[in-house]
Amino acid sequence: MDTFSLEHIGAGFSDPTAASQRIFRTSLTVLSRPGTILEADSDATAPEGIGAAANAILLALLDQDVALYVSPTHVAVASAYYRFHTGCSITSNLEDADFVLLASTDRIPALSALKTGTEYAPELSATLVWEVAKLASGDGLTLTGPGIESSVRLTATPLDAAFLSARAETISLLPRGVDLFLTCDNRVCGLPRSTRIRG
Amino acid sequence: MNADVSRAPDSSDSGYNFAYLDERTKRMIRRAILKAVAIPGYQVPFGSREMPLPYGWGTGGIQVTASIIGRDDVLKVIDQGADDTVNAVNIRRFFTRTTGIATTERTVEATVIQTRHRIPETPLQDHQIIVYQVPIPEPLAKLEPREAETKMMHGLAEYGLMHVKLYEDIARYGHISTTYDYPVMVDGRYLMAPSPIPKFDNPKMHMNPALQLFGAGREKRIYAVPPYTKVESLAFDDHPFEVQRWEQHCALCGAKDSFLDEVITDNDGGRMFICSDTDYCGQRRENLAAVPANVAEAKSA
Repeated sequence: MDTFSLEHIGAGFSDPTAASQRIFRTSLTVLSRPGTILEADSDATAPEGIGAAANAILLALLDQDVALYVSPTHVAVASAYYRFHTGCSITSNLEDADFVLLASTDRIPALSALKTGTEYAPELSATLVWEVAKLASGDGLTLTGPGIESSVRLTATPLDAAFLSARAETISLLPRGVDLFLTCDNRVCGLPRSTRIRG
Repeated sequence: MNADVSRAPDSSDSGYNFAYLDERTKRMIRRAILKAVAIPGYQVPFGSREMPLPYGWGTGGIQVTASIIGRDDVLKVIDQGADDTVNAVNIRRFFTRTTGIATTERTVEATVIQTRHRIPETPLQDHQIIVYQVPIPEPLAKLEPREAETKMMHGLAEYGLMHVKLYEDIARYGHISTTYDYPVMVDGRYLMAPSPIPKFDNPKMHMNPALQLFGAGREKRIYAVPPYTKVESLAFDDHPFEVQRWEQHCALCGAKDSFLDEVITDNDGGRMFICSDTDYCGQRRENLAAVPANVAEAKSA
């Protein structure tokens, strides 16, 4: 059993009820309106290297009922933090994870390595929180689908060809799939499985 | 009992967590709502809690509302379109007591609208969320009672059963006899029960700017229609979908475009038709009273 010292763990929300609700509503808005970028700040002290938005979303949504996979980039500093503040379990197997925290330097994992649910229970699937290097409205990718009136443009780096082909694979699996929160510092954008992306 | 009645009703009740539910329950429901939004029209199972009112009184809608609502929200609750009916009054009071948030009867002022069986006549806007109370979330339940079977039909998008039901209606009555809870296809994938709203309201769900959430407490299901999502009422090419129409206008405000309730006024067959949406009707009457010229216009129309 590994032990950890509390003195190296930053603060969580000072008012968990209000902060969780506010961050959840931001998550709900961005996931139901793909391409919309909102700020998701909180007064929590994120582990070093993790952006404010990614941290707030994880603190708001995790608890003892879910398992979190932390990117190898962050695993040393972040595992104890989320386990302490939320009670979630930490898994090193991507296929067991309900939530996945990825760093901007990570590659998008192969879909076959993630929980995608089944045809009959597509909700038993992973939610990815991916910290990207750049996140902005306009240019870049064209998004269409539920939550988008006609179409919307989004720039996110590194959403490259490898990501787009992984996403194309996702579309063929619908309603199975994974849902994404793209975060950059204190900003977040939702990319549910239902969104169609063109490069 | 008496202690409850005498307690000051003015502010939120400090004996409860914000919005009644405990934080872990809210997080579980929030995660279910996010998956429901990501898979439009799919019914996500959730651990429905026992609420301080019986199943059938909106326990699903209340749990969804309790999980999304915050201190800055303005809540409107309607029951069959009316703000002043017993179910609406009690749910509104429940949230006033457990959250202390502001409530309103005006559709335009609300950020969260919980509804039983109607969509407001006033068009919803993109900052609003509408929460439906749902008794039977499974649109195929009356045709196929086995849940294992209906789950498979949804998994395979195999909805022939519902089309046969609608066809049999046409063969027997000459038209589709379903007038409320009229089945819809969401984003071309999932067959969904729109809750027992009149089919008059079905077209309002299509490409609506507001987020639509559905909660079924007894059946333990949450589902969603994101904003700007295609919602198509089932029909046939030679029997297109049609909504109810009335010969009458609203007897109070003169509206010709709203859903009308028939009210019996005496024992001699006297009756009148009035708007089911009390806020819409009230606003129209206020506007008519403010501009006398319009009254004459409305009467001559």
